[in-house]
Amino acid sequence: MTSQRPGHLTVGREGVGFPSASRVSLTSASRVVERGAVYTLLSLLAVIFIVPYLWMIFSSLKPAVEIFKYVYPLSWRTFIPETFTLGSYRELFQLVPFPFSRYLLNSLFVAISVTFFSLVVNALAAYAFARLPFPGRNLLFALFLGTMIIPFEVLAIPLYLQVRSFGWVNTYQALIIPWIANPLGIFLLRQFFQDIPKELEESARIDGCSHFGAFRHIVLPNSIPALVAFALIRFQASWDAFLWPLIAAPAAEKRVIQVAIASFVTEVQTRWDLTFAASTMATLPIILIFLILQRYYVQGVIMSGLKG
Amino acid sequence: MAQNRVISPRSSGLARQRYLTAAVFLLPATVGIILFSLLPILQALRISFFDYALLNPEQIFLGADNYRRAFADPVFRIALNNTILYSVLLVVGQTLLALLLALLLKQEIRGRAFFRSAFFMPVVTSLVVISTVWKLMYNSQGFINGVLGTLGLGAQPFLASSTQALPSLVLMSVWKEVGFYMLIFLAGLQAVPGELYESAAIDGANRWTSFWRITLPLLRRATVFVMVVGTISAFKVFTPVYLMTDGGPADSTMVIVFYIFRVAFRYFEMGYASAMSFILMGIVIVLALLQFRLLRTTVEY
Repeated sequence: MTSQRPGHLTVGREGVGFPSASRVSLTSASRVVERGAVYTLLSLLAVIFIVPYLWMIFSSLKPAVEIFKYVYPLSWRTFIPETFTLGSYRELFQLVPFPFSRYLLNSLFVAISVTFFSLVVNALAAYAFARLPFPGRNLLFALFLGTMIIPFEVLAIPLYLQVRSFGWVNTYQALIIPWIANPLGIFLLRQFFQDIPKELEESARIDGCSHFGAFRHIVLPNSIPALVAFALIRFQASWDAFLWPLIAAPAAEKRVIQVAIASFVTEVQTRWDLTFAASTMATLPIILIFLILQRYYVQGVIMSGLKG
Repeated sequence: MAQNRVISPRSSGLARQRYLTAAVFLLPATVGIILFSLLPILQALRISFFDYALLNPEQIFLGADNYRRAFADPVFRIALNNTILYSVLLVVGQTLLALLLALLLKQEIRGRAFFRSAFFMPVVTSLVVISTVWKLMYNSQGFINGVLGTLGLGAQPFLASSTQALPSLVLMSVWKEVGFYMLIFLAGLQAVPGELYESAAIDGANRWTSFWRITLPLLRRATVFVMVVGTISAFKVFTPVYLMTDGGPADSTMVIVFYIFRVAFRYFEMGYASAMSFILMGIVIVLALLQFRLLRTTVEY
């Protein structure tokens, strides 16, 4: 476990651990009562956190008329479908002008591209800041970090005007290219690269390796946890992005999944059955990734907490 | 930052080669940051002084009129007040709940990983999906009214009421965000050495005293971080308002970013919207500076 000072959120190599149990001893009777209270409270809270997901998933498997039919009074039928159907999903994939799979693929393509190029571009820059001294390096680094303070909400308008002047409205470029360079990523990867023993690279350099060779064969393989964590942050940020795609690519053919779901909700006649099915499809892949890569993910989120 | 010092190169040839490599490595990121952060922010500053309508090519210089207009605009004032109210309620709610969750999960109990994942799930779920599902839960015949009815309580209007809409958004946001701040507190608690509690117990301190005297003071940095990051992010709320209330009823959930979006992309008044963005940015920068200030002056243990 990495020991961390509160608020001092450096990236540990072993990931973020959790505090060990409090060691204050109690008599066994009061301990049992306390355990019971803690479990009751935690279970109640867990229900509140999980129930909306269950309601979403089960509602997506019901015909539209059934969704609000059994909400009151609460019973098993509030959740479990009386008539189990995949009709909503089938209909989603037959939507006109575009099937829902189109929006899913748009999101997937955009998120994977942003993640890949983000990793390459920011890792290269981070290496230069960590290992290649040049005049003015600290100034440039400070300038990069300074741009982190600009909230995206402030950039949205001029960025839209810029993208418009490039003729990029309703294109994939508009959804991908502005999100590649990422000062937070440069900052985090630089911190990580600096902790790698310099001797490793120096011996490789003596053996005739170029800077790029040392970067590729020594630094990158030793930074897998940080790279995975950063990749997860970028993927999730891109997958969840809403305001920017809403502005920059609202046309149906380039619509990403979040904008597509929002368009279901804001349409005059909302089809709640389709909305639930679409929401489920937008959510489950990310939760699955999260459960599999939880260790990195948690680390990644704590890292991204620095973005302020 | 000793590592960052420029070490005098053994020969100018080697140094030149290193500068060249650095330039190549930095080129893509630098171009990206200049094109998509620095130039746009300068452009935004410029147009905030103009009457810049997207559909009208003619730009008229207005000086600070757009800024003056914002402070005289009753809707902007309502949006500012609502944003502050939303942020205060959200930050207090999520900080207290996150602390409670972290303290509960600090103990060695069975199923800890399960509970942690459950509380964290909303953090990795998109805000669009959460807003959509909660909109339906808040519906007059929705899930929450079903629960209230089953418990024998009266149905509530939630989003349809100008007094309940904003608190309803806050409640949803606490649910969405609290898992993130819980992790920050857990990381903070991890740094509290167990020996401190042991020696306190030997000195006869009960757990309540230990909490107030040991745990809370040691969590001060984490608390400041959680509160300031939470406030900055709360100030930028947009998606739930866009999807759930459209700023209503009766402007009761009109918030700054939503109003900026409406002025920019429904009325196409880019100049005025940019001026309001800079006011928002001013607030965010003050809050960020406050964070650095508080973090720096906090005693380190």
